[in-house]
Amino acid sequence: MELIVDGEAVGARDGDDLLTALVRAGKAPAGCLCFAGDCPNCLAVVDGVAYVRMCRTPVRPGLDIRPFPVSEPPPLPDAGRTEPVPYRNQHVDVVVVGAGAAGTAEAENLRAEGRRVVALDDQQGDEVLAVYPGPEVVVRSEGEIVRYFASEVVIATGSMEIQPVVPGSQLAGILTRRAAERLARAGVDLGRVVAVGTPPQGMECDLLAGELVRFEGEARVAAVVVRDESGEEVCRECDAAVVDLGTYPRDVLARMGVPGQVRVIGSAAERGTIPRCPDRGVVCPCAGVTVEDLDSVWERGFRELELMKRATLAGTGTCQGGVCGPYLRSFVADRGGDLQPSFTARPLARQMTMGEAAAATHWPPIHRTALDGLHRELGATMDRMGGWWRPWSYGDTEGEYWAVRRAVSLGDVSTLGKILVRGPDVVDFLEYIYPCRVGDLTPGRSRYALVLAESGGLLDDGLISRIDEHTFSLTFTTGGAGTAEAWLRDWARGRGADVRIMDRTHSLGAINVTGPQATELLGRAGLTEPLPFMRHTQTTIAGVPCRVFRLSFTGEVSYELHHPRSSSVDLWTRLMDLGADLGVRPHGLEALMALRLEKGHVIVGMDTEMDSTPRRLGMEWAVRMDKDFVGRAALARTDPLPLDRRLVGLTTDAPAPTEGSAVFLDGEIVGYVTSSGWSPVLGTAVMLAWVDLFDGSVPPIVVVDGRPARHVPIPFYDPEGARARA
Amino acid sequence: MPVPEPLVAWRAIAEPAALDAATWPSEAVVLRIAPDEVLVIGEPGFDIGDPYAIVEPEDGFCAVTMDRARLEAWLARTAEWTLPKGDRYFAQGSAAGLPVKVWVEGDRGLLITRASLAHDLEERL
Repeated sequence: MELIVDGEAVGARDGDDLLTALVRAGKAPAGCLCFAGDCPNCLAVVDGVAYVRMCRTPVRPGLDIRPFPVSEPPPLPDAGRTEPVPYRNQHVDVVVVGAGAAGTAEAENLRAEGRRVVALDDQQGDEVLAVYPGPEVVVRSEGEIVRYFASEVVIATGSMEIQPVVPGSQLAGILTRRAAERLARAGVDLGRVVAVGTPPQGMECDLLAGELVRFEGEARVAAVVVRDESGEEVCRECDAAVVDLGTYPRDVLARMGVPGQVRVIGSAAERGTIPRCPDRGVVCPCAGVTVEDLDSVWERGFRELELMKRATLAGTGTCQGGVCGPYLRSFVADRGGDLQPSFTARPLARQMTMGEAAAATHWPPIHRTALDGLHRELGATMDRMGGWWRPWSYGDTEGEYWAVRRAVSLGDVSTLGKILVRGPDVVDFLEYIYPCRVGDLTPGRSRYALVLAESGGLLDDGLISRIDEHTFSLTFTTGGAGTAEAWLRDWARGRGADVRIMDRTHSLGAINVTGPQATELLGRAGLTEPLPFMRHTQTTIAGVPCRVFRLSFTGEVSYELHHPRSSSVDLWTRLMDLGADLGVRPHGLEALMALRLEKGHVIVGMDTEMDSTPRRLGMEWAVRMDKDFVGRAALARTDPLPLDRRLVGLTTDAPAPTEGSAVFLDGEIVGYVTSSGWSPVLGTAVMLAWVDLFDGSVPPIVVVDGRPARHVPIPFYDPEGARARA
Repeated sequence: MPVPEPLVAWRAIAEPAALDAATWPSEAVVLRIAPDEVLVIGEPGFDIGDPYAIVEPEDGFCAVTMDRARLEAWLARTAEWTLPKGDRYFAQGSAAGLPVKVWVEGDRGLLITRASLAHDLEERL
């Protein structure tokens, strides 16, 4: 059969691996070849996939092979997007890596005990890429990625041959003893062979006794030089050189595993040969690290093996220390006197493609509200926010904005956290969770509430609504919804509170009906009794059972309709029909962000930091220090301290600066902008910004984006809140 | 490919002991998804002896009914946990990156996830 090597046809025999075929054709790559997958000297781009070890790849007709030295990165693949790499998970009792004598015997013994065993060996097409805690073993096998989940991993990977580190060891035509024996079995003629150490079986060679000093030659080895017992150098000309310098445990996978989950047997568990400390030469061919480099970092004080690895990058390359590992230990022992353990091994043990790396992973799912399809039908630009797909804009953000300010608009707020809490201890429990008063809420009333961390910083915010004596409905932000239930449950358990907690976030849809005509629209839809601000009721809206909350995030009259998720589309559609003559239209998040900014409402995590206390936020009114609550101790400790900075409102006549812009005073940075936007209704740019205080006061004029900005009170729009309460 | 359908169910949160002692309609499939929580597939009509129990109709899940062998083959490929053994079992965990609940009885299986992830489940089946 024929292979294509660097564009030229090269003959190969059935049963050859790629490297054997190349050596047979006189195209041996540079460096000592091990034919065992341990060294980095037979890499190639094979059919567009880089870092393929030719010694582990069987020949196939027509393969396109482009060998490259490890010292030079291969060309980037020019192939377009390929098909996903298939993967599967498999659950077994034991994974045995290595099908040599020790591995095979162990696998048979374990099977005899009735355990489900999988035996893996790269010679049989199963290339182990990594061992992870679990234990989990990731394998490349016949074009797919297999993840084995087991209770134990047995490493029986045997030993590898120590490579020479002497001047000239990067010449072509150098082989380890086992490699030479393999080529002999394949019938490859290497010409005049000189062997140092135990000679290979099945191959005629000239044995050269003594300590290896160097290889000589131009691109290919032409002579071997040793130092004999008398100390004299002896040189022998050759076409190929074979070295036997002892073996070392092939233990990369063993060192990758978690102790107790991985058992090492056979040669892989042996101590192995620590080679003589080299005088000169390339120790790590992957990173091009020489003995001189090791001396340099040693002199600079890097005396631990792990530190030498980091300082030189030796051991971090393609072969993961297969060549340099023994020599690094030898070097440190020679210079420092202690034989230090091998450095930590981390995945991967073999190179993998991006497709293989992605094979067993999934894009984190993004939740969709029941109205998702409808938003897309309406042409909304969807974006991912807080783990949900949400409509950013329906294509006319300004029109959406004005629908809220002048008419009526619908917003999909199904993503808000929604939790029911019930029990005999519910009031005491919630009094502790929230810094505001809870017990004085009567059924039918709601209250805006902060959620504080133990540090006193703002964790989240939302609405507390009392349903009946023992039941409360709580809302949280979209971003906080994912952890709200766990937060409540942790505190309930810790305090022994007798309460039941049910997360309804994914069960209920929620539509915000907002604008001056919102009351009119809901009246048409069935809300016959006026609902005062911060009240709620259970009723039927447009034929759908809803809990209706009267509140406001936009600054206009607003009603949040919480309803069964399965009714979201019906409810939305009917409200749009009923409000057609009122000018109803949906609004996306982009409009909502502008609306809430005009009211100065904070977005937790955007306008706040971990240490954003209510005092820094100007929200002391939401805190009652005459009771105990989460975060109270921290607030009590920090309240006596002078306030150092505040979240404040700024305006400028210039275009709205980029969020994150620095705030300057007299050329010094004194804060930064968290939210920024043009206010259509005010005709000015408005900002929320963290600003340092000077003598307890916010500077009246600061500079943002090179232009003056004025400190103004917030809310910017309708400071009395008359419109929301109308 | 099977398409996830809305799951008609009820959910109850109550004292674990009350759930242990509760009686359920014989036709209902009752999945104990947490010590203090059950998902009841089918009609309500159950009685939980906890005066503070929260019992609500549940719209938040979708499900795919599948041949058991096919379901278990999919789970074996995509889940990082071992499936229980037996003719009838309930399990829950991550599969193909999605939170799933699995109810198997005889040669049929029910694969449940959040309704908000129905699109992702359909893609990953």
